[in-house]
Amino acid sequence: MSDGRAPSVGAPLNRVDGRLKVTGGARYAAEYPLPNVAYAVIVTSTIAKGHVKQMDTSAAERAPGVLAVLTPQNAQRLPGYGGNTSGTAVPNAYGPPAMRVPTLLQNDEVHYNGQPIGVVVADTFEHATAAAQMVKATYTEDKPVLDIHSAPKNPPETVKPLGGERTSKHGDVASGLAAATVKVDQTYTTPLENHNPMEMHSTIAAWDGDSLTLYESTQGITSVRNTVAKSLGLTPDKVKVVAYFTGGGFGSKGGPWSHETLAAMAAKRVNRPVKLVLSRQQMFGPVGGRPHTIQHVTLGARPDGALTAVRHESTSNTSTLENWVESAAAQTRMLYASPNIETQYDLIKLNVGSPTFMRGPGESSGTFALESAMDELAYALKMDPVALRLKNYAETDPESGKPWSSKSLRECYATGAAAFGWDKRNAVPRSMRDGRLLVGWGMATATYPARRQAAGTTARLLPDGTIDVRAGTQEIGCGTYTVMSQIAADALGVPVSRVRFELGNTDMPENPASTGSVTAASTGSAVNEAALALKAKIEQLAPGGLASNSAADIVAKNGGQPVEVTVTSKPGAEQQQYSMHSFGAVFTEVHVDPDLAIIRVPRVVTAHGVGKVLNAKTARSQLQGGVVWGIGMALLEETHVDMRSGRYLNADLAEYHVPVNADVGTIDVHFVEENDPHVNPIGVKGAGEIGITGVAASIANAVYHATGKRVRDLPIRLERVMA
Amino acid sequence: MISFDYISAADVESALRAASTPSSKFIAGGTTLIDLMKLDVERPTTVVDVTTLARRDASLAAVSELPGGGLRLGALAHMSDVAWDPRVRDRYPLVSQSLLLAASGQLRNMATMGGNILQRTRCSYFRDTATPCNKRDPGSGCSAIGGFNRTHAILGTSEHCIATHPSDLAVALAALDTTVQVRGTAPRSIPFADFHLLPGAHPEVETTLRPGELITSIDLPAVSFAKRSLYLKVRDRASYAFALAAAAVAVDLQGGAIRGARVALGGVGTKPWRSHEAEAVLVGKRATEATFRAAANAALAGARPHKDNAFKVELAKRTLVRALTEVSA
Amino acid sequence: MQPPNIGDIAPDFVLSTGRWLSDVRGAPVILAFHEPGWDPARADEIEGYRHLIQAGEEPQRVLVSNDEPAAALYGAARESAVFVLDGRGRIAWRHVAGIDPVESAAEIAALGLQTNGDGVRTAWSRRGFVATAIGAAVALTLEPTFGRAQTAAAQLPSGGTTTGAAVGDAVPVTLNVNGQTITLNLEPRVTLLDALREYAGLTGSKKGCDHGQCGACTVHIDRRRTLSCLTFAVMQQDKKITTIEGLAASAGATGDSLHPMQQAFIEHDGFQCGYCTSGQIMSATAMVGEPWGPGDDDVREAMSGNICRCGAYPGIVAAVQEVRRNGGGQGR
Ligand SMILES: Cc1cc2nc3c(=O)[nH]c(=O)nc-3n(C[C@H](O)[C@H](O)[C@H](O)COP(=O)(O)OP(=O)(O)OC[C@H]3O[C@@H](n4cnc5c(N)ncnc54)[C@H](O)[C@@H]3O)c2cc1C
Ligand code: SF4
Ligand code: FES
Ligand code: FES
Repeated sequence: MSDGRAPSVGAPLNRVDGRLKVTGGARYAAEYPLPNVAYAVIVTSTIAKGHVKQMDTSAAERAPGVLAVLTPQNAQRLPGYGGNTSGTAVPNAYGPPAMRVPTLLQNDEVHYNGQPIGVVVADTFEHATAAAQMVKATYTEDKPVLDIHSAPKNPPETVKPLGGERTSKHGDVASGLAAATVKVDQTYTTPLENHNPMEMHSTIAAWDGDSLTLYESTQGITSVRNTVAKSLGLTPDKVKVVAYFTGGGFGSKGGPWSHETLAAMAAKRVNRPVKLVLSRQQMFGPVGGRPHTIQHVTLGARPDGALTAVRHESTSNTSTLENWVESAAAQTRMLYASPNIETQYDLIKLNVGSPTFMRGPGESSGTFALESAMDELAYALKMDPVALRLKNYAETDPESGKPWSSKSLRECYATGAAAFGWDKRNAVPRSMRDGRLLVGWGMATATYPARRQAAGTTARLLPDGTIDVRAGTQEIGCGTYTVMSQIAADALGVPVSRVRFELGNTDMPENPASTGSVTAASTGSAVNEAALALKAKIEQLAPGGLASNSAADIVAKNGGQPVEVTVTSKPGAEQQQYSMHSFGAVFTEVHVDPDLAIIRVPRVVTAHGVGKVLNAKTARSQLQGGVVWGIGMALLEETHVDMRSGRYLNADLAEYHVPVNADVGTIDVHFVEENDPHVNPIGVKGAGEIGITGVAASIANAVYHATGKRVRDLPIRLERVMA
Repeated sequence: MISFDYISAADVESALRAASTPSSKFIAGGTTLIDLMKLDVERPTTVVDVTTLARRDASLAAVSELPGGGLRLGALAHMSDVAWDPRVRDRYPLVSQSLLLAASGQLRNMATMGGNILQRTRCSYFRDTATPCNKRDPGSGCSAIGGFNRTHAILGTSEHCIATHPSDLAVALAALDTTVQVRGTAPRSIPFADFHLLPGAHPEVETTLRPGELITSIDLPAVSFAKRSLYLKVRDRASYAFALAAAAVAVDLQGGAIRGARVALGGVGTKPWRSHEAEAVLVGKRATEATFRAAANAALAGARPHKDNAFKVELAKRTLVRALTEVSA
Repeated sequence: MQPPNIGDIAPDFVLSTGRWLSDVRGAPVILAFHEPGWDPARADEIEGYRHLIQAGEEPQRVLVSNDEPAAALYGAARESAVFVLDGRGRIAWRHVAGIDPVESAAEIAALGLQTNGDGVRTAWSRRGFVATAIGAAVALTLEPTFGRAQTAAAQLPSGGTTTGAAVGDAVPVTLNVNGQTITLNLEPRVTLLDALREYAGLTGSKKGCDHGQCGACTVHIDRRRTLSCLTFAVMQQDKKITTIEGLAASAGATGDSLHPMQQAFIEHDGFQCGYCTSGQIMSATAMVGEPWGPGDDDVREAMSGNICRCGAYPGIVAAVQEVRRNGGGQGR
């Protein structure tokens, strides 16, 4: 850079927060040592639909250490509670993410089993949990709606996928199908899933007069601030949200739910700071999940593989509180070139907790269907699945006709296939073996949009030479502390060790939530811009800048004050000119026991084009993590709900199976270098979500190759392969 | 969790005395008891810590030789210690394997022999006080029958309860004709086959252990052919998961012919499931796939699947066939 | 150098902003010395100390690395320490890690703070700081003098009576954690994990499930990896407990150096969000001493009791294998 220093961006630097994380020093939401903190425990409903008739709190109130019991009867009425009582959503009632409707003890309605209906506050965690178990509620119970296969569909006008329309129509699928010689027409399903970050959602709420501080486990400090403020009838400046470390989120912590505001209400009631940590069981229902999807995919092709028609209809469930759409057809609108593409969403209201963004929302469940169907088509055509995809390669966005800001999917296929040894595949099902085990090789395409939002950053030069950079973003495991330090260091031409990047506090400039893979692009662009502006300002004050002047001198020239700049960096016209997406290819080997149907995934090879890789080490980890999620999605994960009571049945980590170490083999991650001059000033597209997309299909396709058994319902449990 | 009195027992007598009050419970590793106390499923008002007994009598936590070539597993011996014990690995591979395939490294360092065979079902309705369950709340009904029952039992069920016994170790022990040594008002020995009860009309009564009785050891008899034994476990995850189906087998092979056999099944029974039927089919036959298949059919002849667990019938058969095949190889 | 005593004028030094400490007299000052190294939470750590100051007064907050010369003036070189200065620049309260507990008790008594004879639970215990480590004799109930919100009586639940903080069932529980003896006043139902996190201020051990299903709470008890969420603290009184905070020291590391496993986790990026990491590392360091085979698959199986939802398994396996190749580094 200016001083000839090698750029740190791209280098596989160790995480700057690594030391804190390996020593137990990183502090998560429930770990702030506030004086005199009291403990709150949420009481949840035991029916799925109806009304709370009465809550007997007498035993709990008499229990040792209990300070308060909040119920729908006695909870403070919230001026800003926009939640309605009729069950229809109030769009944007709570700010981003849209349409979230919390349950804040403002009425006696029960919408799902496990819904918060009370809060017990006591002096210790033990007293609070014991007392919460003493609260007994009685209900007037209605028959819950729980079966997505038999429940009625929502009126179409209530189906509003984020950032898109309910239906899309490009050409005419009916005529495209008429022209097809080979067709695939199948239904694929994905089950309810829950995020289960390792850190449970947690809040410490502390009032100071009419100001509230929330120590929060969140991916979005700003949306928590705005929403909680609104619910409580406060202006946002009265609420401060702090989150220096968040123990994973994967979407469930993208915005606030009910517990943050409930903690604030409890703290107000007992006039002490209150700590509220959800139990693992309460992570099922009250804090979102991936909805069930039923996806009908129809493909038509000519003998050479050219797609004449693509139709993808996805029906997913929502709750009776909100209308939330899993955008499972999103990739179908843009992934393959076909003259005729139609997609459609439908919603079904069930008495379950509200669904929300869950890692690769839309694209992960959607690519399972589309990329399984493509594999079926490849077999029907007797064509190599990679060749089929190349045949239908979209040189421009088929939906909008816009050019890609960059796309290296062709190189991804080639790189992945070469690293995997795809050319040695015998395509005949059950043809490959390793001893007794059936070997299956499958592949699928990965894709996820490259988004960017407005973001702010303050950068300061301190007298001791430290560059202090602040942005109100979040560290949820993506390496934000590290990559932002690298961006700032390169822009200023200083070593990374001189940069102190701070985040996670709403006193800092506003940034988007760490969801949808936007952080690197949005906050990264802002940090870059702020650092460049700081550099210019320093140059103005002291020609030659940091290379020729000491920080102390520069600060002295600035009247003894730290040199400071604040910027807000926004996406521009390029958003309209280009279609911006990451792409990749996933190649998977599975081993299947021919008798016991035990499926293992010893090897996954991926190749992705994600724009500029900011840190080769952390980016690799993110993509590997995405693959691990894909393995879970493909083989293990499903939230079971009792079809009579709506009770979450496997609401723990023993029976809700996320992958353990032994479920994961080698994951060989490749990056295809991309130079994207359009997507944003730093050329990054984001790596958080794309890693999971395509993986489930790639595994399902490999299972088919291994066994000859096409499983169209996730997860691929052994009985589905045995049968 | 309700509050309770904690008593740390200095010796067996005081442990027994302390546990004589109603609703008192021994605690060893705590991995079942504390789990269920947090769920409000177990509500003891006195908890008697027996881990301290080993200070007085180290054999309570040790593996020791029995006259005649058997091994005594102290009730307080940890799963990991027994699993890695060279004598256990050598003479009773199926016991070692059943332990190493269970739970996790940390849990195995905590959990004990006595606690393991007394662990309670993982039936999710049993673990959820908001739902009816005959085992937890006698007479309230069984939510699993007519509910979601993929992990439930297909052998030994009743119309009152279909919960699976979750222990892996107990399946290996069932195969071996072990004896459970207990101390109550007087010491007594309980043959392992009599230790666990079928649910019948009283799923809440799970064992023949009397209230307040303390397990002191589990005695493995000398079984000459236990060296040729195997515990095979099939589960959803590759590790850290309970069995969908499991087989504990030992065979006495003489030139391709089976002279003696031990067969027990896990993940499918309401108790650790010894299959004398399968053994009867095996003994005297040649060790062939057809023989194994016939034995598996015999073992599962009485299976009664429910809505979501029908696959277990075939899975258990194949698991048993595979185990017998491997152990005879 | 000895730390200054209560009532002494606080030694003056230059603040990084170019002003002297004495320049900020007039309002109370909280002066905190922290471990060197980067920690974004530091700024808010000090927020906690704000509650030590009387209502209505807005304290200055001063954070100084214990690497700096000023730390020596306060007897805080390489120690964590907190001093509260009154508006006249005198030391009103102090805590320096490692100072004699009895001395602390006396000082606190001198301040007219209420202590609760047997209680040891502190409102804001902080690792290495104050309080819980101080022993059975002292409980810091700081609120009467310094508190603000906390002095206000808790509201009565409607229609009920409150029994307040009657911890009738609580008993003194003495634990040996990371080589230090700490006594906490605990009900028997307090798990070891909650005792560490909520009572002793040792939040390095994490709660991921509270039911033995994730491994985040793994600590060593008598050198064996154990789940602290499934054992009661009262049962672990005569054992040696090591948590992530004490791991490096238990392996003989001094100063800032890490346990080889910690370093290997950093090098191989064996974590992302970091929440499972304490448990992973405690599990890994113990697993190295168990009779597992040498392969990657052995590590995968042995480490399967530690769930990482971020999916950092490949890095974890690589880290463990590197440490095993280099001969273990088996500190417990
Ligand atoms: C997440 C998880 C996964 C698991 N996975 C598996 C698995 O895959 N396979 C498997 O087999 N097990 C598994 N387990 C169960 C585990 O093995 C048992 O919890 C453990 O063996 C119980 O032993 P303990 O010493 O901890 O018992 P405790 O919890 O101390 O006691 C259990 C019961 O036994 C009684 N008791 C204990 N010792 C005695 C005695 N000496 N005399 C009389 N009564 C006594 C207690 O009063 C209590 O009722 C798992 C457990 C967990 C939490
Ligand atoms: S199967 Fe048994 S344990 Fe499960 S709900 Fe029925 S009675 Fe209860
Ligand atoms: S918190 Fe102890 S195992 Fe999960
Ligand atoms: S690093 Fe996030 S759970 Fe493991």
